[in-house]
Amino acid sequence: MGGDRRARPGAEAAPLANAARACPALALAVVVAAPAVGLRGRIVHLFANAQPTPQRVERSFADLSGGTTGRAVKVLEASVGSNVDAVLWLAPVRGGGFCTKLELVGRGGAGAECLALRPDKRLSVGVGLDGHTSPDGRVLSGPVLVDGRTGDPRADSLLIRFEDGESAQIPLVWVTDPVETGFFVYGVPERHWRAGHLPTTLTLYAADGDELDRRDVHGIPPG
Amino acid sequence: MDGEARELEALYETRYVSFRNALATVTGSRESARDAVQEAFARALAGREGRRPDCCLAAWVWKIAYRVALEQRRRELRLAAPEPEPHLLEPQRDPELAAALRRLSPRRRLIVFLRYFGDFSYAEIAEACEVSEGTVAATLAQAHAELRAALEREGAML
Repeated sequence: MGGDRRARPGAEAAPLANAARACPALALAVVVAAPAVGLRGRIVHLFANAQPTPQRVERSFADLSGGTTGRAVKVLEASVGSNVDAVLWLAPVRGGGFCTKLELVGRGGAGAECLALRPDKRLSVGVGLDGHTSPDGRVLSGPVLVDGRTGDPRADSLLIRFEDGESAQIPLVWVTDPVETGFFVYGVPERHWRAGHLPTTLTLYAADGDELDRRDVHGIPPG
Repeated sequence: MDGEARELEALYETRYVSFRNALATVTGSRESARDAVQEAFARALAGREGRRPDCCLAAWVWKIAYRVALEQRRRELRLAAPEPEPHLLEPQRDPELAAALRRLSPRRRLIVFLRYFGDFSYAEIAEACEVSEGTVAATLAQAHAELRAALEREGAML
């Protein structure tokens, strides 16, 4: 992928609010809306209903929350590397809040946490090195993940920029009331694991192109 | 005393302070963290046969301690489900650092606290937080960069 394709991110897509209203509510009162823009096959499946939750996911949520989560929904599933898919699970916490767990299919967990309802609007970004690294910290194998969330209701799309001038759009999946949070998971391509080609910034945009937030991307050791 | 029990006893003796310091960021005080650590080790001792053989002992006990801390916090605050987010014990001592830490996500904040308050190894943090060691390293690097930037914006002397 190359070049800046963010002339007006999301301009051609339905507003998130419309998509959310079109989706039926769940018994859990958690609605998964279709992403507004950039659905390029990196997000494979969206599920509109709670489903049987793998025991390992339930165990993680129980560890984090003290055992008070409801049934989980699969928020997104994305290809993040060669033959590697990531799945993001979400479960509401009885009494308030929700827990999320990111999993690499067939490999294990890639992070879990519990949050209060409606976290702040700021863009939260994390880097995951879920393959092998050398003793001096260079990435030897992937996947290398950039993942996170935002509570900004205007959030529509994300653009990641790299040291070499390339950029890529990252789809955002919005989970509506009561969670009201957008989530994303991106597998950094292998050519961007090396010095001179590393990610630099992640920018959050509204549907009208307004820049809502920007974060530097740190944590990938230059190879 | 069986081998598992001896291991737990040794862990308690050598790591009690680090567990207490890390857990205090969840419970809100060292006093309540002390109680939580003791309760956690008691539960670990009682349930030691249920530990997976490949599971790091410190990480396993930490998960128990974290649950105990949440239960304790619920009782103290009388809330159904308080935010399980770690935070500095005495933010007034360093408001800039406290503010910068609050800007980190709960997951990244916990990793920072486990490393610098609990002296957990990367491997222990990885297992406790269900991430790879590489992610622990990346998270700490990211946290350092964000904290540094935030502190510089606040005009803190670095």
